[in-house]
Amino acid sequence: MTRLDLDTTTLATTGADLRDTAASLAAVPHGVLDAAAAPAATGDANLSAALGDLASAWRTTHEALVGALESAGAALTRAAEEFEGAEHGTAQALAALLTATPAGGDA
Amino acid sequence: MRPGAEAEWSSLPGSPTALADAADHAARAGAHLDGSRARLLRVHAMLEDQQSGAVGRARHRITALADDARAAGTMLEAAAATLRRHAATLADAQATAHAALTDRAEALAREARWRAEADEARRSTWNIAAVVLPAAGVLPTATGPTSTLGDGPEQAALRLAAAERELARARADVAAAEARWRAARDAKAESSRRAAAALTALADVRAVRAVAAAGADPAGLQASGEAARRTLGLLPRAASGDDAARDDVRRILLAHADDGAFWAVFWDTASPARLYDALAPGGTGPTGPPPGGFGGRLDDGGALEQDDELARALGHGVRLWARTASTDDQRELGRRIVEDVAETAGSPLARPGVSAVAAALLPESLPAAVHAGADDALDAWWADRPPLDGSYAVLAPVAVAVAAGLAAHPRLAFDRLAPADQGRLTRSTSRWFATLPRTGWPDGGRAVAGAFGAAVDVGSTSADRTDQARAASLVSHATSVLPAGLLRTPRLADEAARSVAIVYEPYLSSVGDAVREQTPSTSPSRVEPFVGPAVDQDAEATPGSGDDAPMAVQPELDAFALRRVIGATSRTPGATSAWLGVTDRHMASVLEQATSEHYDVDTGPRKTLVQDALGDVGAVAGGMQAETIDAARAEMESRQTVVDLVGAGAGYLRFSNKALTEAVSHSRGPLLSLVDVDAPLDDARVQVRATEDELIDRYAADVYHTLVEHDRDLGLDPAKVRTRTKDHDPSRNGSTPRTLFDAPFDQLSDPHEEN
Repeated sequence: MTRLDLDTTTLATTGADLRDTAASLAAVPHGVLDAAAAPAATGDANLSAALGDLASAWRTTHEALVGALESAGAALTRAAEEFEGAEHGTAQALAALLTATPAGGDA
Repeated sequence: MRPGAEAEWSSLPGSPTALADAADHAARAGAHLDGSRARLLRVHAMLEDQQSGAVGRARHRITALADDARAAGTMLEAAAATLRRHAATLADAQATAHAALTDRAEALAREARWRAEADEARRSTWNIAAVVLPAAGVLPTATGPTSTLGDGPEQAALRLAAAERELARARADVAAAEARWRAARDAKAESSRRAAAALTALADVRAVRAVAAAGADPAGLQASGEAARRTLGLLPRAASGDDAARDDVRRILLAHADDGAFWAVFWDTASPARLYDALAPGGTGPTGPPPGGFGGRLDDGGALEQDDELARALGHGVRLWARTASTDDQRELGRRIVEDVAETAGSPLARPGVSAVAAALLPESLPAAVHAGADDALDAWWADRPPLDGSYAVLAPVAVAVAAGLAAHPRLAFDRLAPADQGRLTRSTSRWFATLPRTGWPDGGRAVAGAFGAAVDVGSTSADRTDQARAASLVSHATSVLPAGLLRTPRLADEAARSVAIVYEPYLSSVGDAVREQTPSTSPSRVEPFVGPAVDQDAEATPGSGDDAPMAVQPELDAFALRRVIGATSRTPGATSAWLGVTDRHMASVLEQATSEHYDVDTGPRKTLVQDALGDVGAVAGGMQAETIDAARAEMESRQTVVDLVGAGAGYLRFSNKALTEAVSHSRGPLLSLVDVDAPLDDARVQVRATEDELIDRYAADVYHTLVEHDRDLGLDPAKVRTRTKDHDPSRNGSTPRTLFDAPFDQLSDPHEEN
C-alpha cells in the first residue's frame, strides 16, 4: 500500500508560496533587454541581433518559469484541498462507524 | 547597419546609457530570480516530510524549477556584466572618437590656412623682381601666416618654406586625429563583436544551465560554445577522410571532456550519425566492430585503433549534456544513438567501429530515459530483422551497452524485460535470452545477465503480487531458452553466471518441485510433462511460520532446461560459488525458520520444511554436476565412434563392448585406454559421487546437528531429542535425508543413469 503522510496545511502554504513566487516573477518586466537591442542603443547590427535573440530567450524562459510556478502552486493547493476533503470524509465515516448502533443490537 | 560601417569622421553610434540601464534591469531581474530560487528551495524543504507520490513528483518539479531559475539568473547576470563592459568600452570609444573629430576639424582648418599661405607665398616668389631681406628674427609663426616678412625674394622663399612646414604639421595632425578615430571605431567594433558572441552563447539556454549547474563561471561559456561550433564545423571534413580534421575533432573532444557548456552546444546541433561518420569514417570493412574498440585515427592499414580515452570522453559528454536536457530530449538522443548505427548495420556500408562509438555514447550511468530511448530503437530494429541476420553481430556492442543501462536502472529493466503483456514478454525473452550474436556477447554475457538479474530482483522483492507474477513469468520463460541463447556465449563470464544463479534464489523451492514433478517415479516411467512457461500464483504461506506471509509468486520451471542452466553457469569455481551461496543462504533461512518457536511443538511441519529444502538443494547441486557428466558422455560417444570406425576400416578388428571391457580390464596401456569407451563416464561418476557425498555432509549433516542442538537447548531429554530428530540423521546409507538429497541430485546430474 502506498504510504501517505501529509500535512495539508503545509501543502496549502507551499502552494500559496509558489503562486506568490510566480506573481512576483511575473512582475519582472520581461522586456528588460529589448530596449538595449535597438540599433540606436547598441550601434552595431550584430550586437543588436545577438541581444534580440537573448531578449527572446529570456522572454520564453520567463514565461515558462512563471507558468510552471503557477501550475505547481495550483497543483499543491488542489492537492491540499483534496487531501483535506478526503481526511474530513474519512473522519466523518469513522465517526459514523464508531457511533453506529450494531445491527440487531439493542437501541 | 553593418559592423564597422560608421560613416567616416562622424560620431560613433550607440548609447552607453541605454546599455547600462538595460544591464541594471537585467541584474535586478537576475537578483529576483536568485530570490525565487531561494523561495523554491525553502518550499522544497517544507515538503521534505510529506509522503505521497504526488508530493514526491511536486518536489521533483520544484527542484527542476529551482535549477531553471538559477540558470536564468546566471544568464541575466552574465548578460548584465557583458552589457556593462561593452557600455564602458563604447563610452570610451565615443569620447575618444569625439576628441579625435574635434582635433581633426581644428587641424583641417589650419591645413586650409597654411595651404592658402603657401599658395600665396608661391605666387609672391614668382612676381617679385627685387630681393628684400627680412628683418632679423621675424619669421612665420605656428599660429598663422605673418606679414612681418618683407616682400623681397628671400623673404618670399622663407615665407613659403614656413607655410609648407606648417601645412605639413597640420596634415600630420589631421592624420593623427583620423588614426585616433579609427582606433576608437575599431575598439568599439571589437567590443561589439565580443559582446555579441558572449550574448549569443548566453542565449543558448541549455549551455547556461550546464554552466549554472556546474557552478562554473559563465565567462567561459563563449569559449565553450565557439569550440563546440568549431568541432561541428570539422565533422564533415573528418567524415570526408581528412585525417588532420579528425585529429582536431578528437583533440577538441578530449580537451572539453569535462565542459558541460561545450557538450550542451555540441549535442544541440550534432547528430550521432555525423559523429559516427567523423570518428569511424568510410571503408567497407568487416561487418563487425574491431575487437577491443574504436578510434578516431586510422593507421596505415586502415584498421581502427582502440581509443578508450575518447570513448570515456564521449560517454562523459553525453552524461554532462543529459544533466540539462529534458527527459524527452534524453530519450530522443538515446533513440538516435541506436537508430543511426542500426540503419546501416546490415548493409555493405557498415563501417567498422561505428557500433563501438555508439556503445561509448551509452555509458550505464546515463539517466534511465536515454537507455529507454536506446532500447526502443533496438526493439524496433529487432522487430524488422530475422533472428540470424548478420547485422546482429555488428550491433552486439550497442546491445551490450543498452543491456548494461537496463541493469543499472532496475525498474526500467523490469518494465522492459518483464512486461505484463505476454506477447511482449515472449518477444523480449526471445530477443535478449534466446538469441546470441554470431560471435557471442562481447562482454561474456555480463550485461544481459545483469539486466535479467535486476529485472527479476525488482519483481520478486515487490510487495505487489502482480509484479511478483511478472518476475516469475520472466524466469519461467527465460529458463526454457537461456541454454540455447545467452548461456551459449563462448567464455561465459563468471559475473554473468553469478547474475543468473542469483535470479533463482527466491525460487529455490520451485527448483525442487520442478525436479520432483519431472522425475520418473512409476513403472513404466512416467514424467509429468512441462506444460510451458507459467507462474504458480498459489504459493502458500509457509506452514506455521506465524506471520502468514505468502511466498512470492513462483515460476513453473522446466527441470531439463533448468539442469542445463545450472550446468552452464557452474563451469568455473567462481561461478559455482555463486550457486553454493544461493543454496547456503536457502538452507540457512530454512534452518532459521525450523528452529523458530512455531516449529517447536509439532515436528511434522519442521520435518517437511527441512526435507523439502534438502531436495531443493540436492537438485541445484546435481545440476552443477550436469556438465561434468554430459562432457564425459560426449567423450564416451566419440570414443565409441572411433572404435566403430577403426573396426569398420580395418575390417577385422571388431570388438564387442563386452570384449572391450574385458580387454581394458587387463590393460593399463595408453592404446587400450583409448578404447575403454565407458571410462570417461565412469570417472565422471566417481567424481560426481564424491561431490555428492561432500554436499550431503555440507547440508544434511548441518541440518541434523542444528536441529539436535536446538532441541537440546529447549531442555528436552536426550531420548526425546533422539525421537524428534532421528528422521534427519544422514549418517546411515539409505537414510531419509540422503534419499531426499540424492534423488533430485541424481536426476539433474545424470538423468540417463539407471538408478
